Amino acid sequence: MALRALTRALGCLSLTPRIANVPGPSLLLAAQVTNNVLLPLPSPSMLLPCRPVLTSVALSAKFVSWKSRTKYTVMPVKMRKSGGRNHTGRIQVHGIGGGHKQRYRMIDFLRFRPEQQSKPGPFEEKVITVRYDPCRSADIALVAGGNRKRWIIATENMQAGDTILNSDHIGRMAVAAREGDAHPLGALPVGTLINNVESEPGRGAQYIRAAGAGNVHSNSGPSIQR
Amino acid sequence: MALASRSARLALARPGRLGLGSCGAPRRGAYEWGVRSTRKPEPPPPDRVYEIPGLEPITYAGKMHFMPGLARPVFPPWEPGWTPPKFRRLPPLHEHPLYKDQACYVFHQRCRLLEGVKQALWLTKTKLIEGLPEKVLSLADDPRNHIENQDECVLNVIFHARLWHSTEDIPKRETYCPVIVDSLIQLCKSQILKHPSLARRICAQNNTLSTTWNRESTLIQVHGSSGAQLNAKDPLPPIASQEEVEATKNHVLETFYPISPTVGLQECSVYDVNDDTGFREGYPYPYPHTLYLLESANLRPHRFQPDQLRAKMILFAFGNALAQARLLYGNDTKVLEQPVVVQSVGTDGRVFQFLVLQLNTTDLASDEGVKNLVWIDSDQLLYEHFWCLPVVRKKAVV
Repeated sequence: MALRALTRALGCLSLTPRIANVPGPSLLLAAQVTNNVLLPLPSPSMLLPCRPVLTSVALSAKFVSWKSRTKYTVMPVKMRKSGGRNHTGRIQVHGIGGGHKQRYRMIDFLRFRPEQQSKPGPFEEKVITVRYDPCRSADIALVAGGNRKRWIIATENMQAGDTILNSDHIGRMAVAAREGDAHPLGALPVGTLINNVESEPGRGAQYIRAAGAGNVHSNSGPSIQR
Repeated sequence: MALASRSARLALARPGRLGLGSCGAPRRGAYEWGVRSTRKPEPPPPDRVYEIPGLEPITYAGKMHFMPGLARPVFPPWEPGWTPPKFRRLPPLHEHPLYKDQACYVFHQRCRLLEGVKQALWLTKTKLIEGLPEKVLSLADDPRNHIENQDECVLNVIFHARLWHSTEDIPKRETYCPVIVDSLIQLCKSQILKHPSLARRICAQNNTLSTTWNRESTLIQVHGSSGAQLNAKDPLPPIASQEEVEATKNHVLETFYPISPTVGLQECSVYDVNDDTGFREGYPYPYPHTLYLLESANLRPHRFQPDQLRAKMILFAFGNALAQARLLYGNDTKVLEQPVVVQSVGTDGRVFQFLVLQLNTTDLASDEGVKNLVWIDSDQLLYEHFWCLPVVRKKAVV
């Protein structure tokens, strides 16, 4: 059965006219490709309908992402640079590549992330060090609270030994915001400079993360109340 | 328009559009580590036929090949009787005989305490005194205790370890650090003729220590093997008098909110609570005298900072003292009439830290009461710098 399909497909390569529904043994003869130039070209009515067959296939790129670590660590993780190449191996974005080797420090962008065993509610953390991160323009700070340590994006005047507050509580009065604290936007007074903003609570900071970036909290644009 | 703000109108028109999904949960959670392509693929879900109770689905298992229309068979997991050692997996932690519900925080040789000495003092309920006690200092200052040509001998030791000992031009720290410590101990042993009581000591290496204690409802365990340990036949006499020990009752231990005191310790659910000094009963030298902790890694990030090294020394000396106290006086928590004293020396080949710890009480669960005492002499340089190769400028040795 497979042979019949194959020969039907390869029959379009043959220049001799073939008879349909030929019994078994003569099928082998029909598989020969004849190279006789004097024979007329086959008309479309002679070609039997058959499924298309792929006779060549492109090599797939052996691309495995370096992001295989599932557990959070404070230790820097080895990374592989992309050079502008995508998963097919071809350049998708030009101009990227080279530069010093870098190790990736896993940054926790969800500030309000209480530990598993701790009580729910606002909690404080202490800044241990502020250091340079090769993977981004902003500096990063190692903060420790409870039983765990994590990296966060450091604000401008953050120093070792500071205490920062992470809260998800919105009260009736606006909070007197200190630099480095994390509050929901609804709890902050209008006019505070904010960064590391998330579009919905629990999503993680996606906006205003670069060095020197800061936006003024205002009530004029479409605001997310939470 | 009744409602002025566009967002409020949107909220009424399309409730889900504002970004909050059901019950205030975000549409997409915060970033999860691990790219989907490297995660293990989920097994395909079983056919819906299996959810109907009491029905036996007809599968293509008997036909030995796939048949569209029949259910996918679910086979019982195959248990091969034996796995080759290369592919053997450990049984899950819950089935281990030593598994306990309460987690224990274990301190081992590679634990770096975040707060350093402050954290070690809190964990061991100890009061810190800067500088070694006068009894020990007087021993060092007494000219009768000095070795003849002391400075010359020590210089020879340094040269031997850092230059003459190995065939390389510049020996690495892993080579010269243990050599320095061994040679200095040998120098001390050379005084046996003058002080015969020194012969009642022995040097032991690679013994495993294990002690557990409760500290305000957290279980803390010290477990590990230190480098070299000096054991003696007689215990060290207590250094602080009874009045000084009673005076520590007023001392308040420093806390470091918001950091928990167990940060940096390894949380473990499978552990053994039994105390172990590292030596069996009937060992001729039962009392721990001095511990020697070496920081001999070649690369600086692998070595401990001086603060972290001092914290490690405090904890290991405390572990030894506690194990010894429990061996002598039993497992009850009480204030000891005869305090146990253990000394410790930590070095990275050039900078030395000295420590004397006196264990006054085994009642560590509460914060009040008598505290233990520790005298620390930190950052003593044996030598400033050591150049192995001569500096040559313009074909002349500078």
